[in-house]
Amino acid sequence: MNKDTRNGLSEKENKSALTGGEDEKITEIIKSAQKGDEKAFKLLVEKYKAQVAGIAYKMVGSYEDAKDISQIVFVKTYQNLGSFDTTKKLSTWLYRITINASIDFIRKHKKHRHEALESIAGELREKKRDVEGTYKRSLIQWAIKKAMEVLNPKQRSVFVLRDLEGLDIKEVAQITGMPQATVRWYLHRARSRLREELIRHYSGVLEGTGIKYGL
Amino acid sequence: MDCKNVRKFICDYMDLNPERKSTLEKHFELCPHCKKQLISHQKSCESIKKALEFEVPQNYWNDFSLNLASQKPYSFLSRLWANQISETIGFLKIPLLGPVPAYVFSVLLLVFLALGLFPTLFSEKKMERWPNNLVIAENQLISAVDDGRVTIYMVETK
Repeated sequence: MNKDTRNGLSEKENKSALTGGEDEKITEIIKSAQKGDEKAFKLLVEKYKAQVAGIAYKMVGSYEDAKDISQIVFVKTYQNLGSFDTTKKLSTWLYRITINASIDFIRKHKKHRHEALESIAGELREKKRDVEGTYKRSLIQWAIKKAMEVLNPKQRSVFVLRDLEGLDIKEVAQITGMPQATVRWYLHRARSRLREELIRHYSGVLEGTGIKYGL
Repeated sequence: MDCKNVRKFICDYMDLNPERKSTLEKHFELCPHCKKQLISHQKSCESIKKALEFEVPQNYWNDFSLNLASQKPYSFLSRLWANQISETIGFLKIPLLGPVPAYVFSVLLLVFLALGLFPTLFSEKKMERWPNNLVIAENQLISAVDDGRVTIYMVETK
């Protein structure tokens, strides 16, 4: 079933409500959702679901888990939207919920992470026959995801938001609730630890991929 | 700055303060080897970013459904209450005076509280016990014991 029809929204309605992307329009949609308009809330979900799932994916390293986290994030958003201050950026608030939900998820599923990544390694052996580009990308993905396991939740969050999502330090500070100087420090620690980890354990895997992150 | 120090900052290059960035830039102009390292590092960062890009698989959102109906009674009420409370105490959110007056007010409140409690805690009420079982405090007869019976007085004694 088409998702738009399932939500009771036609594609045309979605497009007309979301194109333009002005902040005022978004604020109006948020206000409607705050008054209990489910349709307005679903428009917000449509607009932000890819970004939310993207951050969750980078935090946990799995598409399926990212989808589960996105569902948790939007349910939490729906429950607490009434207390959201419309003068602030919705994306910042959403990203904060996503980061926290992802950290909770990692803590809960820590035991299974190792097995999940081992299965990726198995898949990679299969992919050797695959196109060279895809294979290289998969190798990088696997090595980085594995290396990122050594990062603590704060280091991982700032690394994902700054280096993988490309947000600026100020926004990362707002999302994580840390001062900018602290964000810079965690970022430095995350990059250094990741570099050490890549040199120590994955330099062989990354050989030929063009990754010289370890200098 | 020498090459060894410069390389320490390469991974944080994009987040450096302008002063340090300009020092590094000057070094890169003179040192092609470090410049090469920087470019290689930036390329690696790009490749990592690209490798971890979120590419939505086909039909990914098909089974993505939010069961909002089950959330409705709680969320709708909480939203109503939150709106109501927010409107009622909304003025408190406006930082009219800022944090400094708030701190001063708190300190003053504590001082006044301490001053108010001080006499109660440390004052010594002069209680005198007279030989004929009379208890007198601050020139007032408080009680008297006669044959095991206690009588309370509120008579001023001068």
